Amino acid sequence: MSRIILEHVTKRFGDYAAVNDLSLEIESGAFFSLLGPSGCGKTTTMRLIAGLETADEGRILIDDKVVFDAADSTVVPPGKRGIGMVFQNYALWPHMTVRENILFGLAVRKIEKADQEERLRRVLSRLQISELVDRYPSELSGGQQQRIALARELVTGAKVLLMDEPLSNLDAKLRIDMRVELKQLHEETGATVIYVTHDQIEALTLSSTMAVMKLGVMQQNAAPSEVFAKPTNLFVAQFMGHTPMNILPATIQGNSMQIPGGSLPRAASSASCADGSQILIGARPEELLLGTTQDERSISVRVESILPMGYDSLVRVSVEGAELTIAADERTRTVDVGDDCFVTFDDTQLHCFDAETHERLG
Amino acid sequence: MNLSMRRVRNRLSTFAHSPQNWLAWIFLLVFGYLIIVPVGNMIWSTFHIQSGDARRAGGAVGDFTMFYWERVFASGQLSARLLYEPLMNTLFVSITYTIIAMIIGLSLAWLMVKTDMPFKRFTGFCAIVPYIVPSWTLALAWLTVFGNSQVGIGAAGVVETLLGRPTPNWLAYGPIPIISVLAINFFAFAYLLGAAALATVDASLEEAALIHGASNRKVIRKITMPILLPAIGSAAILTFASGLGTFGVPAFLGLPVRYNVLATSLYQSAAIGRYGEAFVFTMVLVTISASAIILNSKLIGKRKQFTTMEGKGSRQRVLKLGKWRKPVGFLVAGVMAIVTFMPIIFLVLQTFQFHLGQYSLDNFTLAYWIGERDGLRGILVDPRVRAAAVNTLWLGISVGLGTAFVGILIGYSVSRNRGRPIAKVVEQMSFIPYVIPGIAFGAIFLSMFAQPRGPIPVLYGTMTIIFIACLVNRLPFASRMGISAMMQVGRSLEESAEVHGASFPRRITRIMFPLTKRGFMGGFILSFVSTVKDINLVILLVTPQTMVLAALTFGYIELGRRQFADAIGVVIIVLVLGCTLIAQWLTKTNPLQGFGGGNS
Ligand SMILES: Nc1ncnc2c1ncn2[C@@H]1O[C@H](COP(=O)(O)OP(=O)(O)OP(=O)(O)O)[C@@H](O)[C@H]1O
Ligand SMILES: [Mg+2]
Repeated sequence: MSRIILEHVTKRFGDYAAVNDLSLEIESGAFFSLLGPSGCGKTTTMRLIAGLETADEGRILIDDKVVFDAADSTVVPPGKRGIGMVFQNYALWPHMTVRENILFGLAVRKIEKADQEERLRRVLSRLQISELVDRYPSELSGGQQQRIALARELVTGAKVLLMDEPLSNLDAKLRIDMRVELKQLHEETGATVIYVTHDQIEALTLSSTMAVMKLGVMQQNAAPSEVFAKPTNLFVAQFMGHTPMNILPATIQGNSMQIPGGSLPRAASSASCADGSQILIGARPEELLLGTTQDERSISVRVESILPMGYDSLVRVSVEGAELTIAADERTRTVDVGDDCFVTFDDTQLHCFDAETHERLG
Repeated sequence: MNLSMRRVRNRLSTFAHSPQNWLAWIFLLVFGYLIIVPVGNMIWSTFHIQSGDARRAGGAVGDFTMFYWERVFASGQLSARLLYEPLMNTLFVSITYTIIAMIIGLSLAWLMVKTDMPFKRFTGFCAIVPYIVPSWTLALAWLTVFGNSQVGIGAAGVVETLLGRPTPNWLAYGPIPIISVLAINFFAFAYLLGAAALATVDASLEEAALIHGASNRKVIRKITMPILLPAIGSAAILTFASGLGTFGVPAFLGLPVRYNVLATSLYQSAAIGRYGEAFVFTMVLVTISASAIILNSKLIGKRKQFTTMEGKGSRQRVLKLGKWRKPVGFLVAGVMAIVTFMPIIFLVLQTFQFHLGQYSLDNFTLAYWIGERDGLRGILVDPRVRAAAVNTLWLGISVGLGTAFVGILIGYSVSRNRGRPIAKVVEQMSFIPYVIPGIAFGAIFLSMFAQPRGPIPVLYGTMTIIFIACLVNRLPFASRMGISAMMQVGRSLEESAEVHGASFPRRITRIMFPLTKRGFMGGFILSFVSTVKDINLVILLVTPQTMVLAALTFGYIELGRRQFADAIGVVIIVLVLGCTLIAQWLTKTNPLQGFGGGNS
């Protein structure tokens, strides 16, 4: 059991709450991702769990053991929390060889020499880095350093692994390889992984659950598919996805919604809204269809610009002062800049948000 | 156990596991006791009758009195002699040598950075030698060259020998020689600061303005000068403050003609046991020095406080000297070589002269090295000198190690506590000694430890007090070195060891120390060097049993046996030059930048 629980944890730097009343429960064996824009408190959250920062309020449990409690000032030092941590810059000790780096944690734990060598051998061959064992970190590529940093934490058999943007310093190709590797490692070790990232694709592909943060406050904590399909508020909706979600103001009128350029059948999730109320509707660029024929779910628009992106292109259109972005299949695209055409909405997939609170409706 | 007891217990255990915290508190206490308390104690002493002064001051020892302040500040003729004359002399000498050193130093910096003058490596090396060698050896060298046989125990210098008639007194002793020697000693300081400042004016800054159509003159006026001026001002102030309390030079060149500056007045008062007055002088000196440093930090702004600009490798617009290239290069290199090597050569020669100033072969002797003269044995065979050498090495090594060690620990606790008030307090307290000139420091420690303090016995007359004074005096350097070394290492390397459960001693010995050992070695050597060559700080604290080499020269001078002093000077020059070069090579930087060098 390596469940991690945070209860009402707050961490302030001066007056600013970098983490604000955060409550979380991370199941044993989960691959949990923390996602959010820069400065939202992801690293701070991770350092609080590791014990490298001390929270001002709340309680933290690892493996059902209290490691931090503001009420009685319990602070278990990092080394006694049974965790491993991969730093964003890897933090390999430059004056030690790969072998010395990896064995450091075992020596601290007073593991027998023979056992140390055996574990070293296993982790090296698992990560396919056996030939690097006598090199110094400065003699390694970024990807190799990354593997050593992983090996150093895996070799101790820690049941909780914290990783702060471990792939952010790698190039795009390596990043994809390492992603696959990380997923496999997670399955093999069964460790609980807490993974901080900027990159939503990473979060979506790797995690079993994920949380999105903003200005120190957690916005949503759910399975990746749910976060993507049912963003809990406007911020999460716009944060997730390749290109930000299109947002339009809408007015409920009986069974339809008035939006710039026309009206649509009322979305199912707006059921609770009174007649005449104002809401915001959201549709991802991929959920919109560009065409030359009109039906009851479409509005008339004019094409402003086209950004080709390989198979797809992003088409920007305008309607009555509002702008929409549509992902169009480049092979079947018929419209061009300056054309008048139609955008069709899928009312079953429309996201509705309260105009005031920006919370999800329905 | 109830909640509040648990809380106390947990807090204590967390504190015990946070070395950065308890280190900071330890430093706070120790600095308080070794810096704040002694200064406070000295101020207190100036208002209370000192032992031995009861009759003079008209009261009992320990009574409140304004006697010392009145005597020094408001006693007509007496004050003029005690304070105002030395004060005026100090200001005159310091301001004048600062101006000269700045002109030479900045011109050299400009030639070195902004032109294509040849022989830069050689010139650059020569330029810093007079800054590395102790200033009092330059004073001895001055006497070797310009000394005359007119004053007291003086002897003919090279010039007198060549001209066949005595050099005028104003050229041999007094303000002109003092100013000249200090200017030679300090121009390299101005040069290093100036070159670093010039290097910050990257060519792109000037080119950006040129592209906008600004003329060359406008670029200098609107871009280059505004960037440089604060740095130049700061260099001038630091140069001024560094030499303000110098004792050795005015002692060797001023005292024979009764030309007093504050440092020598202070020494003379203390030497005849008039500590009350000495402490008042100390406060005057500290006030001037502190004002200068505060002015400096105002000038260069908060961010750069106590640091000088670090020269990054920047691109420079270099002025092509054309047909003047070679002549300028030869001239500058030649002048620098003369200024650097002539004093040392003459100093060495003089140690072999049986009679001072006679440059002939039959005057050659090894008496001052391995023989005997008038009951004084040569410095290599005199047990007194050997004892002083042992003391000096012991002091240098322990202060060097202490500085490096304390520096790393200060760096650790300050860098790990970044952003917390305690880090700021520890850092700023560690800089206080920077505003206290060496001889003032000696006086402050004298006032503190010449009598028992609680559990601490009388320390005057022990090596311990000299050690502590030197160590505290080197704190600003230690702290700057340690903080920058720790900042370079960064946190995550230590934190990842912490996550693995490595204890503090283990993290220090296995991670932090190996990663900072270059800085550690550099700090050790530079601190060793400035301790070995120092005379300002130790002159008031040494006793015959705790004599060190540099202070020993003072006794030889008083006896008129300059050759012994010269010989000791030569030994120290060799030692400090060698060590500085090693430090330079070890740290791969110019360790003399900022206040690396320290002065004596
Ligand atoms: N030691 C510190 N002192 C003061 N403020 C801090 C400190 N560490 C973090 N902060 C502040 O706390 C907030 C959260 O920082 P944090 O590093 O957790 O962000 P992050 O989500 O990891 O961002 P990024 O994606 O850029 O790494 C930021 O506003 C940051 O400036
Ligand atoms: Mg971060």
